[in-house]
Order: sequence, then C-alpha cells, then structure tokens
Amino acid sequence: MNMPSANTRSHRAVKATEPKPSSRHRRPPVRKPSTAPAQSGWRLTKFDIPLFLVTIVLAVFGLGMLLSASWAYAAREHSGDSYFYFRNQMMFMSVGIVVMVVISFINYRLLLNKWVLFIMCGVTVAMMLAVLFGAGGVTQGGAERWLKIGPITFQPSEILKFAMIVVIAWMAHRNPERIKTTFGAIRVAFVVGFSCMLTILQPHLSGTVILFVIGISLMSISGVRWPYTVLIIVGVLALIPLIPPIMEAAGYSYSDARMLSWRDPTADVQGDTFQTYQSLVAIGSGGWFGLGLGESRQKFSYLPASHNDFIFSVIAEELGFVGGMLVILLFVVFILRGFYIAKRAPDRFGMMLATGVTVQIGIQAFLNIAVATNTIPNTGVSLPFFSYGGTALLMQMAQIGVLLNISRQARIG
Amino acid sequence: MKSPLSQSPDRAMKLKLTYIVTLLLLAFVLLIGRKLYVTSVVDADDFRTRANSQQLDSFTINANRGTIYDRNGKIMAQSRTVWNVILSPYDVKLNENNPEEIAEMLSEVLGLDYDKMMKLMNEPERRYEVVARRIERKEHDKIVKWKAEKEIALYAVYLMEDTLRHYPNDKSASNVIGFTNYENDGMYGIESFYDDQLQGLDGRLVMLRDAVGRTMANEYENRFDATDGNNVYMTVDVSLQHYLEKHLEAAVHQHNVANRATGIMMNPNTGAILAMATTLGYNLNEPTELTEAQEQQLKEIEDKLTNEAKLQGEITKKVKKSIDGKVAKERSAMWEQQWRNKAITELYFPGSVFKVVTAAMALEEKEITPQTSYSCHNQYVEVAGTRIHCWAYGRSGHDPANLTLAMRHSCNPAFINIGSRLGTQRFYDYLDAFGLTDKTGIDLPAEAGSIVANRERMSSVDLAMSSIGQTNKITPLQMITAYAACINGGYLVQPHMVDRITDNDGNVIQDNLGGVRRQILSAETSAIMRETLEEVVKANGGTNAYISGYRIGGKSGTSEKIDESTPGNMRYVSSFAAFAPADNPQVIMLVVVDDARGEQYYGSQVAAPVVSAVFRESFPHLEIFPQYTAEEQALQDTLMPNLIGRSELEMISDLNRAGLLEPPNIEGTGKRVVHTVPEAGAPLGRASTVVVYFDDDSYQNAIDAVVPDVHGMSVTQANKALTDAGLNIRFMGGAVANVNARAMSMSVQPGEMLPKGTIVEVHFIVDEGRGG
Repeated sequence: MNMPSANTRSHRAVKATEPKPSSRHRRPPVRKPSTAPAQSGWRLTKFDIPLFLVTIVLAVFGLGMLLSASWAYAAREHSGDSYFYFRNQMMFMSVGIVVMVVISFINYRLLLNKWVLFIMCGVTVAMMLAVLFGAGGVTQGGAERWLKIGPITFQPSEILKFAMIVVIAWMAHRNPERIKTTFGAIRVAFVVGFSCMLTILQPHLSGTVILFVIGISLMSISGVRWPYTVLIIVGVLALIPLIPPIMEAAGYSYSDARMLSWRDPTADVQGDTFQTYQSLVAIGSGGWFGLGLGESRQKFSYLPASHNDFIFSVIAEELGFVGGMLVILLFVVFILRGFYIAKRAPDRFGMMLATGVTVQIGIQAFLNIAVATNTIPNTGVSLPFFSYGGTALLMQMAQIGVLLNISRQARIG
Repeated sequence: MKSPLSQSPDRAMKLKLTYIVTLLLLAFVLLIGRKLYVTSVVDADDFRTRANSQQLDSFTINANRGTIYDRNGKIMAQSRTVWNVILSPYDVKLNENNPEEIAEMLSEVLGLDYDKMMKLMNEPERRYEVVARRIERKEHDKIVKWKAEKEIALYAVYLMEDTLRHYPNDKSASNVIGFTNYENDGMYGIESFYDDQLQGLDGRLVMLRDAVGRTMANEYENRFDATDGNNVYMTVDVSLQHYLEKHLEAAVHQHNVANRATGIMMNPNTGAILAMATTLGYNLNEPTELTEAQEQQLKEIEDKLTNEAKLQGEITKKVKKSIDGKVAKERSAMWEQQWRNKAITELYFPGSVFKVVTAAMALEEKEITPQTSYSCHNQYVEVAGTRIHCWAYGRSGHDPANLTLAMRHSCNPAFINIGSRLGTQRFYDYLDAFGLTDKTGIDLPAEAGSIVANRERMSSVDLAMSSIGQTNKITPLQMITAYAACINGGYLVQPHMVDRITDNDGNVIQDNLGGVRRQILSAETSAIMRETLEEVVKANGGTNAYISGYRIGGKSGTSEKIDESTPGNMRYVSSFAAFAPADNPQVIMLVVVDDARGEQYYGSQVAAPVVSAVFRESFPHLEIFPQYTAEEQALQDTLMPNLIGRSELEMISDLNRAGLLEPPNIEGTGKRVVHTVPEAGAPLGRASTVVVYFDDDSYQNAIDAVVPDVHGMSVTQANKALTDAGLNIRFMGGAVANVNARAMSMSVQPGEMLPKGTIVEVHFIVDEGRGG
C-alpha cells in the first residue's frame, strides 16, 4: 500500500490540530497505540448534534409507532393494558438516552485496554456457549437465542456483534502492517468466522448474516488485501446452498417455507406464507399516504409480531409510502453521519469502531425493511429504535454513545 | 514520510468506506425503496382489496318493504320486523359467558333443544349458527332483557333483524300480488314487478374485524341507514276481488274444469283492473302449500314410480334419488302453475267473444251497417274450398237478418262474411290498432305475447277463422282490452294494476299509471256496439247474464281448443265478456273457463252465470244502481220483515209494506205472532206465501214439506211444483224471464224435509248454445 501524496491533506489537518513534536515524541516504539485521548480532539463540550438529533428523532418516532403498533396486541395479551409495551420501551429508551450521553463522555480507547478487551470477549463467548448449550432457559421460535440474567432477558448475539467489531478494529489498529499479510487476513477471517459459527449454531440465521456483513465491511476497509475479502465472500456465497440441509440436519425445517413465501407470498396465506402475505397486505393498504396514524387494521392480529419484526409494515400501512421512505431516509442520514464520523476519526480504531457500529444499525434496519417488503426471504430481524425490545435498544443507544465519543475526538468542524 | 504504523485512518480506508461500503448500502436502500414503492403504490389496489376481504365484516340492515294496499286502502301485504337468532359458540367462549346459562335461556324462551345447544357450544370454532328464524318481538324483547341482565356479549347470542311478509287476506288476489322469498325479493305479481319500489334500500353496518373475528374498535363502525320501501296502492278492490274469486271457484267445481278459470274486472274507461283472479289461487302466506288433491296426486306418482322400479329390481339409493327427483319436478310444476296468473300468461282462442271486435272493425270501415243482413241458409260457408260450419249446423236454422241477430245467434257465416269484407290487410291493421299483436304492457311480470297469423301469409281461410276468433291466440287481458275499446267510445286503454305509489310520508311518487293509449273507433261505432251487445243480453226477456233493473251488454264465446285436442274429443274454452251500464259502461268483465268437462261447456252456460253473479254483488259496491220497470219491480226480491209479537192486523200491514202481497198462511190461535217461516231478514220473492204461527204448539206440530225435484223444469213449472209442496221459490239467474230458461240447480236437495214456507233458491239458465 502506498499512501504518500494523497495523504497530505489529512496530515495537514493533523498538523493543524495536533502539536506535532510532542505527539511524535510520546509515540511508543513498540507501536502500542495510545489509550490517551488525542489532545486537541478531546473536548467535553464538543457534541455531535446531527447524529444526536437523528438518533433522537428515530427514537421518538420509533416509540410513537411502537405505541400504535402494539396497543391492540398489548390490550389482548395484558388484560386491557394497551400501554404495556409502550411503557416498557419508553423506560428503556429513557435509560438508553442517559446511557448514550454518559458513554459519549467515556473515551472509546478504553476498549483498547487489554483487560477490558479480554473480559468482554471472554464473557461474550461464555454467554454464547451458555445459550448454545441450553442454559439460557428462554426458547423462542425453536431457537435458543436468549439469555436470562436476573430480571433481564437479552440476546448475547447483540453483545457479540459489538465485541466482534471491537476485536477487528483492535487488530486493524494494533498492527496495520500485519493485517495486510495472509496471516493477518486469516486472523480477521477467524474472528468473523468464529462469531458467525457461534451464532448459526443457535441457529440464528439473521444474526449470522448481520455479523457476516459487519465483518466483511470492516475487513474491506481494515487493510486486509481485497483478494482475501473477495475470496471469503465468494466462498461463503458458495456455501449458501448448504445452509438448508445443515439447518435441517440440526432439526429445523422452516427454511423451505421461507423461500416459498419469498417467491410467492400468496401461495399459502393460511399457512407458510402467512407472515409475508400479511406484511404485504399491510404495506399495500397504505398507498401513498397511508390510512393515518393509529389507523392500521393489520395490527389487529393479522400481522404477527406487529410491534416487533413487522413494525415497518404497520408504519407503511398507517403513513403510506411516504412514511416508509421517511424511515428509510432517517436511517440513510444516520449511516451517512456515522460514516462521516468514521472518516474523521482520530485513529484507525475509532474509524473501524464507528464504521462497525454504523453498519450494524444500518444493516439491521435495511434487512428488517427488506423482509417486511419481501425483498429478501423472511428472517427474524428487528428494526432498531422501532421494534419492541429493551435490551437491544439499550445496546444500540450505548453503541451510539461510543459513536458520539468518537465524534468528540474526530476532526470535525 | 509514509508511516505504515500511523494511527490515523489512511486515505485508502476512507475511499473504501465511501465507495464500497456506503455505495453497497445505498444500492440496497434503492432495492428496498423500489420494492416498497411497488407494494404500497403500484399494487396498492390489489392489496387493499385483499385487506378489505379479510378485515371488513358487514351486516345488512334490512329496509322495511313497502305495503301493498287495495284501492280503498285495505292492506294486502305488509312487512313486519322479526329476528333471526344467531349463536356464536366462539364468542361465548371468548367472552367467558356461561354456555349452560345461554342454552337454558334459549330452550326456555324459544323452545330449542338444550342438548343440541350444548353440543354447539362445544364447538368453539363456530361463529354463525342460526338457531332460530323469524322470532317475534315478544321473544326478542325477552332475550334482549335477559342478555343485559346476564351481561352476555353482543355476538354470543346475536339477534339479527329480518322482515316477514304478511298477507292478511291469505288467498285473495294471490295470482296478482305474488309473494317474497327468503331474501325478501318479490316473486311473481306486484311483489315482483314493483320490487324496486317496494324493496327500499338495505342499509349496511360495516365494521372491521381482527384476525380472530372480534370487532376492532367502535370508531371503525360505519352505519348506512336503510331507506324503507315505497307503498303501492293497487287498482284492485278487495271486495270485488272476493266476489270474483268466490263465483269463479264455484263454477270451476260445478263444471269440473280441467285447466282452471280466470276472470278480469276492469274500468273500461281508464284500464284500471278492479279484480283479477285465477282459480284456485294459493295462500300467499304459504305459497308452497298444495291442495290435498295435489298432495295425493304426488303420492300416487311416487308410489307408481316405486312400484315400477321394484319390478326392475332392488330400490337402490340411486333409484330412490331419481324417483325423488321426478316427484320434486312434478311438485315444482304444480307450484309454478298455482303461482301463474292465467289472465296474462296463458293464451287462448277467444272464439265468439272476438266477433265483437270483428263487427266493430267493419262498422268503423263502413263495410257494414247495423241493418246489413247475412245469409246462413246452408249453415256453413265455403272459403277457398274449406267448409266452415256455423255452430248451429244440423240444428234448427236461424236468420242473421241484421247485426244484432247475427251477434245474438253468434252466426259464424255472418262474421266470416264481415271479415272477408275487410280483407287481410285491413283486418291486420286493426289487430295492430287493438293492441292484439303486442303485449298490453300491464304492470305485472311475465305477460305473454300473442300468437297472431303472419300478415304477409294470411290466407282467406286464416282471415275467416280469425274473424270468429279461432286463429289468433291472445291473452284474456288482451281480449278484454280490445273489447273495452269497442264499447268505451273507441279508446284503447292501458290496463294497469297499480293506481299510485307513495313514500312513507305519504308523498305520491308516481300515479296516473293507466289512461288512454289511442282512439281506434269512432264514438258512433262504439255506440252501435253497446246497443247491439245490450240487445244480445236482453234477448228473449233476458239471458244468463241479465240482471233485472240493470243495463248490461255482453257476448259469450265457446272456442275449440283446436291445437290441443282432436276432433273426436274436442275441448273447449268457455268465456263471457260483459259490461254495465250499457249506456255508460263503468265496469267490464271477462270470465274465461278453460276446459269445462261437465255436461255444459258453452260460454253462455258456464261463464255467463259467473259474470251475472259477480255483477249482482258488485254493483252496489260500484255504486251502479238498478232502475226497474214496474214489471221488473214486481219480480224483485224483498226481505222478510220481523213479525214476532205483532198482531194479525199489524202483521198484514208489515207484509204489505215489504211488498209481500200474497196472503200468508196463518197457523195457530194466539194473539201475537210467535214464529214465521222464513225467518225475519231472509230474502224472498214478492210472490211468496209466508207461514205465520200464532202459538208454539202449532209450530211444533207443523208437518214438514218434501222438496220436489225441479231440475230441468221451466220457471212456471218449477214455481208450481214448489208452491204445491207448500214451499216458496226464489228465482236465481238472469234468464228467469226467458221462456227457454230451465232450472239448473237448487239450494236444497230434492227429497229433503223442510218446514212449510221455506225458501228454495232455484238457479235458471237458458240454453241457447254459443249464441249468448
């Protein structure tokens, strides 16, 4: 890799903001990255208003739609308490916003700390294994994905995503030279592969796909040589036909139905294609401007998980194509801002971390919408900020907190 | 200068982030956005339809069907609200209502089987079980009250409104009114023809239901109120209808009629139908009920088929099914027949009644005058080599010296002659003018169109046969309409059943449905026809249609059913058409008796007495009053005065005042009258000799008289026979003054023992063949 003249601008930017000599002087010979904040970028008062705003808009919008989408179901399942899900979600969201703001003050380089890193990875892997071997105690839809600790139920795979992002970012940051080598590529591929394996064994196909997409995204910018990245992508794509038999061997046989309802959602509306069909009926009912806020009819038991995986369908039904596009555009704005922050991150770790967190939230949103619109076969992905799920929301807010902290230290403005 | 260990992200990383990751994500966004657009905008209609079909649930709110009245505002058909009871075991379970309690209530209030209800309750996937149909308000109120007390969910036991059509007069005008089916759609008659008016607009309660069938929320409920149907006032007068039906039915029984009879009574000046009947009708409240004889007939058919099948082998399920099918087919044929309105749906040869129309055409065209004479010496006429006999062929001759005589004798050669004077083209022009080539357009469904000889190919034989009513098949309604034009001043009127339609606030929506369509004949022609036809009825002191004191014109007809029977076994249609008063017709009536198989079958014998009887009862109702000559006055009936408690002198004066001038037979020795025969109030002839008892003993010990058989006797003979036996005769029938009249029926059986002085009604008819 050569980067000489093209880098001038960023160097100049560094020069402009960083007292160069001291920085050079303090750089350790062992190329150990500093855990101290970059002097000039680290300002407590600096706060990424655009990212914060789009987050808050998404959160409030999401909360409102959750109320609309869930009240009918809540009234039924919780003896007339229409606000059951709304209340819970609001609680988590309030906590989440506080957590986000607090984390934005905590230097993200703390994650480079060996102990922090090891403990995080160890605990994550332990939890994943616990779930895998049935210690979680919560089964949903034939798969073991949830872990229950005290009053809190959560998916360890949510934490695994973040842990994987941190580990790959750490690799890219720690030794930018080694990552260009075959060994470096294998190391990254191993991290991604290991994460995916832990997840797919649950089996949690959508989680695996998300991990893979995050992994590939990070890999492609990390410095891993592109032939390796392409090789991995091609290899995984070649493995796809093997997934159904593997799933089947593991005792899960619902994949065929997913393919069926993808190709023809009207094939078996009472059975296999029910979810997809009802989702399309909801979206189709909306037209350009929808039936009006709160006016969804599909949420009355027609649409399964209307407050969860298929909340987007309720949005499109109530607010129409315009409302649906608004949601998509909000996520696009979020992603562009996230990448903007990533590109101006003070170091590779920050950039990788910002990219990973952004990709994670973005890809999850788009996969969810793609499922709701039947762009891809049905797989259970929730819509960040919108779908019901306290711990997931908390995790997302916390990660945006990290993003906000990177932004504080970035060369922005 | 380059620092591979640099902590800062290098340019390559940034470029990759921008051009690979960002662009790939945005590409994915485009893919999703496109799919969202296609689903929510392009295919929106399809999905919305699918959404509605699963989400919307609606109930019909039945509009109240309009009422049908007769011309005087008497109710002929009326709807009332009833309820269907719908049980939803699903909602019972969903709302945690007590199934035992509900089943108990249903069995208590509606008499339903408790165990059966409980069985339904055990199938919670059921949501719509109609457990009782058309319950009345009393039961409905009970259930509603009970539901409120026990807090039963709305849809657990749902009371759905329905309407029930009720016909207070059961059978009256059944073939005209028609009935409604279970969907409250009009079937047959006025109910069918004016269905759009009567039906109103059903309302609808649309609501959204969730995937498991519960209503979503109240604000989605959309109520479209029902608009009640309009009310229809018929031109029919239920009293006249009753008279017509009564006498038609009597004639059908008396003459063993094979193919029913029909009668129409119409205002000749407006076309308003005053009565229209087809025997034997049916009960509008139970339209599928057949007569016992018909049920018996069906049973016989079934037995016959079963026996036949037994000879072929075992009765398998398949064979049984085929037999049942055949019987069911028979049954629906019977239904179809009893529901049909013969007056407008069945064609017949009008026969001699049509001669009225032939004569009117020729008079109008000045081809004949009332004085034109015809020849019938040979009692047949040859037309293009075909010999057509007069009805009197082989009997004593008659001389059609003028129109009145030709009409009275109903002379075929005379009318064939009249027809030939017109020629085919002019004859046909008049068929068109009289509306005989077209439907009348009456406001009733299923009117039949006539079958008329082809204009271009009409031969002279066709013309000859048409002139005497034996070629063209028309409906009775067409006949009476054409006939009316001959006597009402020459106008073709629009026959109609409905006078006006009003909405529920009494506003008239539609009226003047009848009226004159066109003038065909001059007033002069019409006047000649009226005089001629009055002479026909008055002939020889009165024919069977004559009623003393009234001016009646009429013509009989006995047509051969040449297309449905063979010369050796000829079947006839007997008809009579008359109008009154002859100088200013207010009512015209046609009676058609199809295939009388008794001894008599001439129209003058079978149909004319019906017309006479109906007219007699109807005239007071129609405000047509008699004007008697002194001679007629003497023959008129009077009423027996109440003589009980009167002295002898008082009694004589009372009798005189009543017009009973014959001295009474006085029995017993008391001072005051204790008993009379006949009793007070009975109608009797003025020449009757009443018996008066002055003490009880004489009454108790009085010797009864034996009723002599007077059948076939002349008026004088019958009078003498009964008077000699100590009984009184009451003359019935229009032909009493006719020397040829003979007693046809008696009100009591010969040989019966009756107190002396009892009135015996004897019906006389005159046998003049087809000619009036």
